[in-house]
Amino acid sequence: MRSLALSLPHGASLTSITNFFFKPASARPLAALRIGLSSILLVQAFLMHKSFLDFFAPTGFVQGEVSNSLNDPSVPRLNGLVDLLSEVGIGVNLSLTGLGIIYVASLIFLLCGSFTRMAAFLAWFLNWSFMNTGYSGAYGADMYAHFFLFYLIWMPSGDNFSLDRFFQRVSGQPSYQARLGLRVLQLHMCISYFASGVEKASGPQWWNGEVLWSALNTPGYSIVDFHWLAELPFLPMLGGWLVMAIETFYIVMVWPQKTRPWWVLATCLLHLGIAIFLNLPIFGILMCIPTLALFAVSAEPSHQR
Amino acid sequence: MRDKICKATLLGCTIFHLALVTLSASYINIADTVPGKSIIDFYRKASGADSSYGFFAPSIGAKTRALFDIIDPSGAKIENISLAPNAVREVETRLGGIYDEFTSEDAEDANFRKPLAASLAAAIFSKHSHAAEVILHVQEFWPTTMEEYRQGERARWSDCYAARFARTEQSGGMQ
Repeated sequence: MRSLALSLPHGASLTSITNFFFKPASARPLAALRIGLSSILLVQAFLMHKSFLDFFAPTGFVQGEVSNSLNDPSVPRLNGLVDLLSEVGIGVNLSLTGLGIIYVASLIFLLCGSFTRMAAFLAWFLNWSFMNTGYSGAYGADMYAHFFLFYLIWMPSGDNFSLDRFFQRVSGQPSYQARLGLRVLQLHMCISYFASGVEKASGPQWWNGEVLWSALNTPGYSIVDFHWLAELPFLPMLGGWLVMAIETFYIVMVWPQKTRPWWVLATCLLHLGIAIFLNLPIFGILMCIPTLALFAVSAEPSHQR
Repeated sequence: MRDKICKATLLGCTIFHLALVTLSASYINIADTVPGKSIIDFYRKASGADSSYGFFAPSIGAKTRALFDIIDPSGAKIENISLAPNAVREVETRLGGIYDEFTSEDAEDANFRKPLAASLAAAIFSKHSHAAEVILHVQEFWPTTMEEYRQGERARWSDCYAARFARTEQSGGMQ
């Protein structure tokens, strides 16, 4: 990694590009992402289970035709399947509950790394379809979960820490597929943080601290009274600058070995701050997982026991 | 040789995919004239490569909520009922998404807001069988700036949409 970082600016050689994307790697970072993601999605499913039908059933909060008008017609939804099942006498609520149970089961299989790719496919498809069935109120956490689950279909995340490995359904040997998968995920995270940082920096409200002040004092987000920050405006201003710096320079600072631990730590603290102070625990914890898994877990085969 | 072709193909797919991720992150749309656009668009949605990442950017905007008043047949009124009382934070966050629809671009159209309001009112009617009427209040909260706060101004919830629904005698439906 270090040699690549040094050589690319002076002229990318084919060898360094090949090594960057295809040098055999352990799948442990991918396995860590798989375990972290499925764990937090299981917690999310548990938190949602009492309101499940309120969001997804045609008789829920947003009903029938209204939900159809809000959803994207080009994306799969479960209405067709549910209608089909109702024709053979299975009620809508029972069908949806059954599909919800299959989603949870697929997450458990994904967590354990059992038939991992099939489990990832089912979890991805149902997660995506549920987002477009009824009215899910999907937000940032769902967006990240959606593309991580998509990646887990194609990447060998079941090669480590898995029942697939235990039962020798996979070899678990370092592979170029694991390296490529890791790089795609790492680059995707870099693009997302860079875009997020640049967009924040494009307006004045992150520079003068007003966004942090507003978020910390808006009902629904705030859990502690932060109005005292109005008397110390340099604090939210400094906080805004820190957030922009962490996100914008993630793409650069998370690669070199010297700065990587600090950037991983800063990024995780940022997301834990969101989880605690903006009262978005699922989103905040979910967002710690990729940075920890992809940049703090070694993919080098020499570290694999 | 076969291995090289395989890797080159994978690398090509990777570059294509990450290019789509970058375009979406930059809010750049693919022109309608690009061949296979509908297939690319479906792939972007399926893979999540259609996402943008401007959370709380460039500003936070208003917070939205919905409260309901219930009037029973005797005229007694219960005010400020929530759609999902004692909901966990994850549910509240998603409800916020529903309420935000009232202030979205489409919300200028009354034909959009009315059915959505009726749908929410129906959910309240189903949970409160004694309700004869339901009044929906969608409210916005615009935070003050730090300077405004120092000068004594305080942010408050204010109604941005209201609608009244009555249960019909014959069908149990709404007017």
